Amino acid sequence: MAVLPGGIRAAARRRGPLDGEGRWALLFLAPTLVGLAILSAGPILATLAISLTSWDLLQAPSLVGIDNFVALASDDRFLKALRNTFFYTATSVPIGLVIALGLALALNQTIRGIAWIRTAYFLPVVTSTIAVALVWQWILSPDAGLLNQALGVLGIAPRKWLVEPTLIMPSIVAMSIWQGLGTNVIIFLAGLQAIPTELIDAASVDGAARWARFRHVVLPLLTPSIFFTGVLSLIASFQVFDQIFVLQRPRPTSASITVVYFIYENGFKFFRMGYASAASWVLFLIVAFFTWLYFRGQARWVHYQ
Amino acid sequence: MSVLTPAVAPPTTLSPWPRRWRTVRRAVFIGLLVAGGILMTVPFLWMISTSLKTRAEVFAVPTVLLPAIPRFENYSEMWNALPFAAFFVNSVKLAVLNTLGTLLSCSMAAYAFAVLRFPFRGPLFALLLVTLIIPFQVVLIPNFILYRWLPHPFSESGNWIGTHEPLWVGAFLGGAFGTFLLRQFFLSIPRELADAARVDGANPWQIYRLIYLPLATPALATLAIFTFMWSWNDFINPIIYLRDVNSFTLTAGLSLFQGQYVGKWPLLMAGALVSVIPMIILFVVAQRHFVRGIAMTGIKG
Amino acid sequence: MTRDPATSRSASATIVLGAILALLVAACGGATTTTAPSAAAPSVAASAEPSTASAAPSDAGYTGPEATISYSIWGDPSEIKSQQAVVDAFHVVNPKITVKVTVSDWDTYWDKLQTGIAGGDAPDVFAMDGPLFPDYQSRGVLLDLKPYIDKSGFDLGQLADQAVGDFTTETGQFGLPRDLNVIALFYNKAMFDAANVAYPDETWDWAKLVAAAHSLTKDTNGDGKPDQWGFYTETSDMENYWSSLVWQNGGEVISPDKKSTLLGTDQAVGGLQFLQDLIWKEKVMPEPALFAETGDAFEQGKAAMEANGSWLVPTHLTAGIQLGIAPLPKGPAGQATSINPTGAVVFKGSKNPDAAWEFVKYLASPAAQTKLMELKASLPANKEVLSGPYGQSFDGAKVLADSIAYAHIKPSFRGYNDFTTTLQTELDENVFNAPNKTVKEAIDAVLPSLNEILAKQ
Repeated sequence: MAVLPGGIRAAARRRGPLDGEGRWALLFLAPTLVGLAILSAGPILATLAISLTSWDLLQAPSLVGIDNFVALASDDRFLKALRNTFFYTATSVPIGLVIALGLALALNQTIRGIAWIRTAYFLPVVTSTIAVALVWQWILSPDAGLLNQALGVLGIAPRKWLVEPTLIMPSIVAMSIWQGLGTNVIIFLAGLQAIPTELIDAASVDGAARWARFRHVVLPLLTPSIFFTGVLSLIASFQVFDQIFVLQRPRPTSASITVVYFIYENGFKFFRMGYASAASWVLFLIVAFFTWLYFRGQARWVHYQ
Repeated sequence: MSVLTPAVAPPTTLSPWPRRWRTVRRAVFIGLLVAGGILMTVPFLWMISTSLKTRAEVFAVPTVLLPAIPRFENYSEMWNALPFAAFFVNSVKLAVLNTLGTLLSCSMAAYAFAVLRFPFRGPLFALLLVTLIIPFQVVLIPNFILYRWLPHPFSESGNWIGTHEPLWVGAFLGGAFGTFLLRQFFLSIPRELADAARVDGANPWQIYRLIYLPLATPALATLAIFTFMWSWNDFINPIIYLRDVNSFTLTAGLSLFQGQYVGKWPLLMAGALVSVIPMIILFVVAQRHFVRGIAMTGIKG
Repeated sequence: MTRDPATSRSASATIVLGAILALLVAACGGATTTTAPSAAAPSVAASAEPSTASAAPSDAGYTGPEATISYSIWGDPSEIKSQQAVVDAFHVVNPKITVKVTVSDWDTYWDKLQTGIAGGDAPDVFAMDGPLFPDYQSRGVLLDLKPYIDKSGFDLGQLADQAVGDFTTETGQFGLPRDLNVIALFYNKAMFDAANVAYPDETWDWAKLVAAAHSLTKDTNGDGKPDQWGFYTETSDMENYWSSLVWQNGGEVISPDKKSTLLGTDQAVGGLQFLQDLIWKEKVMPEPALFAETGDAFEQGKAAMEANGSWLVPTHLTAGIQLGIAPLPKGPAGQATSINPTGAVVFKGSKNPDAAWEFVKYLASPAAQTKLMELKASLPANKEVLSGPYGQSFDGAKVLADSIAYAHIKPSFRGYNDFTTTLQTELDENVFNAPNKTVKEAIDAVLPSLNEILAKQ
């Protein structure tokens, strides 16, 4: 977390005494510090402690050292869960971001009824995952499903989207992108508000000039928003669970189990909370590593004012 | 989603284009945007249609697009099956408290991280982000133990279990998402504004209150709508912490309709729609605040 | 419930915090190894003893102090209403006891229960699924009701024997059955009439089932795929049909000592193979993928028969199906079906065990059982109600009640979820969803893992 450009610049320009500002910072951060200490640090440290135990939730835990971590390394189901989760992250994050960015630019205009169009794109976000999943079950159903009926018109044979091993994860990625699109679009839209509109008003320029302006003026100004949505999408994607839980009832196959589902089933179905906590720490280290890489790289492309 | 490419794809044709061409292009672009919007709405329209269907119509092949006679009884059946009026009040209460708490505590923390200089700023921010990375499923039990342990003056059990408190108090104690979101926006506000105010004798609180908060309205509105929505749609925490059905939220109550039986789809969809309508209204109202399009003047000095 | 400073901090909280402390101390290099403190034991043991204060004999009702107990169940809105009515009626009989009902859907129920137990806030009385009982009982969280049964002179013989046995261990009786679920053959009378096929009855065997299913599988629109299926069942759990097939073929799922699985035997494999053949060889049953998303084919009027549980009766009736209920068709080794009780159990740490027992006893009483019966979703566990009013409560109820005579209890052992996940993942992927393997090949592939899970009994 060494690279915080604002901080470096600020330090060079410092005027007032640091002590004074430090005290103000303490005031501003007081609620957060209390929350970190009570609500976050305790439970997170507890999971670390639990990961070193064998705990069924019902009886007292017993210390087992790093046994859980050793066992994970050779757990075939865990390795499959890791593979599926990586696939999900590697596809849903970049595709979701690119589409959301394009959409945000397109929606940031004044045409009649734009508010309604924006609302349309936001609808999937506000709808609960249960309802979204039901809708997608109807779309992807092999027999009466909308997608297969549409493909049938084009003469393409029906597929079993949520059952065929090679199609399950791509189907879930598609649903996740559809559902999450609105979230990122809104963050980008808010980010676009900070950019002088003459720069974005694409209609006033044509062709190559327009692209150049987008590439060299608008895009750099949007990088803080892109950076933010990138981090959040990255972290959230590694924790994919809801979609699996609702679309793969009663249980995911080896082609669709994800790490957090693995954690859930071990902790709450198999009475192995110690093992589940160990898996969550492995996931934690992986996500922390990628987040760190991402932060390290931000100096090269994120531009703050 | 190929409909969206016009917005980002580099045009390969040489400029300048004839004006006529541009009008055509724009019409096509708007057409595609509307088509995409309709595509996003189709599942939602299907929800409305399903909520008014009979059981037989839900199963019918080929798919019945619209029910022959809209069955509005589905809504009253759903509403009367459980104390939904109480659920509604609980949901609103929790969503409002969560939104207020998050806006306040996160904007303060974000201001500190973006503007103020203090020791351990980087590590502290990293620590905050770390809290996002631990999956909710494993901290559920430590959190529960914490709330079980905290004394509560008014609850029957004497602790926080069975009360609404575990579902909103945390919002007043910061949050990684909100702090990070607002920090990113605060960083894009020119520092010159703050520096000038400081020279004029303003203290950090005044700078936060009078410069940063007003300028960050779009970001605050964004955070508000997200927080409201998450609080509204969360069903696992209410189910874990609440005891009495009457204290449930709308989404938690709806989860009781869940099951493997298709016959329940009309009721489930009616319930989902009732729960989503307040969110849609909120979005329509709030979007003025975070999307102002061309009317908005840039704040860059 | 009053606040008690000594117990308001949960035992498990102490344990977890203790573990953290131990860890931190160990990390600092100071301490020798620490074992996790077991503060839970004393208070639990103390409250587990039946109170001797209330010396009142058998059916005088509850004479202890005023008490509020919590009762946690899974269920949909109609079950909630029914259970609330039972609770209200109980309060009329026992005005000193107030019961607070907490409900969740099936999935969340177990998460909430375990979180509550781990966090020291478990309900006094809660619903327990038969197969999961050993996982909870063996971990010492359930109260032995034997002393209460003896003291009150409660006659266990008034409840269905197998169901009572499901909550009996060598050391005691850890719950009473609340209701029963059995598997039967549902059929759509209209479809049978249209195809001019005789309704299923107790004489049916596997061959008859296959023959009838062929006559009832129809491609009405001529697209080469059936639009009406002869038969439907769920393949994702043994209870819905396949454990009955194993028994009907003379096989067994689990060895008597529960330490190994007998699924590798020819009889067991043959039972499972029959189900795979219904889908992929006879093609009279839709492959699971076709209805994985939209749900029950029989409920939708797209299948003429369904082997499944009694809990589907209200669903099928409200779906407007002309419902007939018959015994499952017999197999080579005769008749068999599956029975699975839902029990009411008491948390060992309950502060009001006497009141909790009173309520559990009431749940098994004819009054409460009659109320439950009205839902049609399960069979009463009380013999008086089961052999009496239940048989007339709807068309086919008698068939369900009679099937208990030849029913096998759903296998129940420690590690049930673990076992099922390992087994069904293999069966779903390679046997039922796609015929990648024969049943024999699939079972052989998972047999070592299954026995490893069972070895930990």
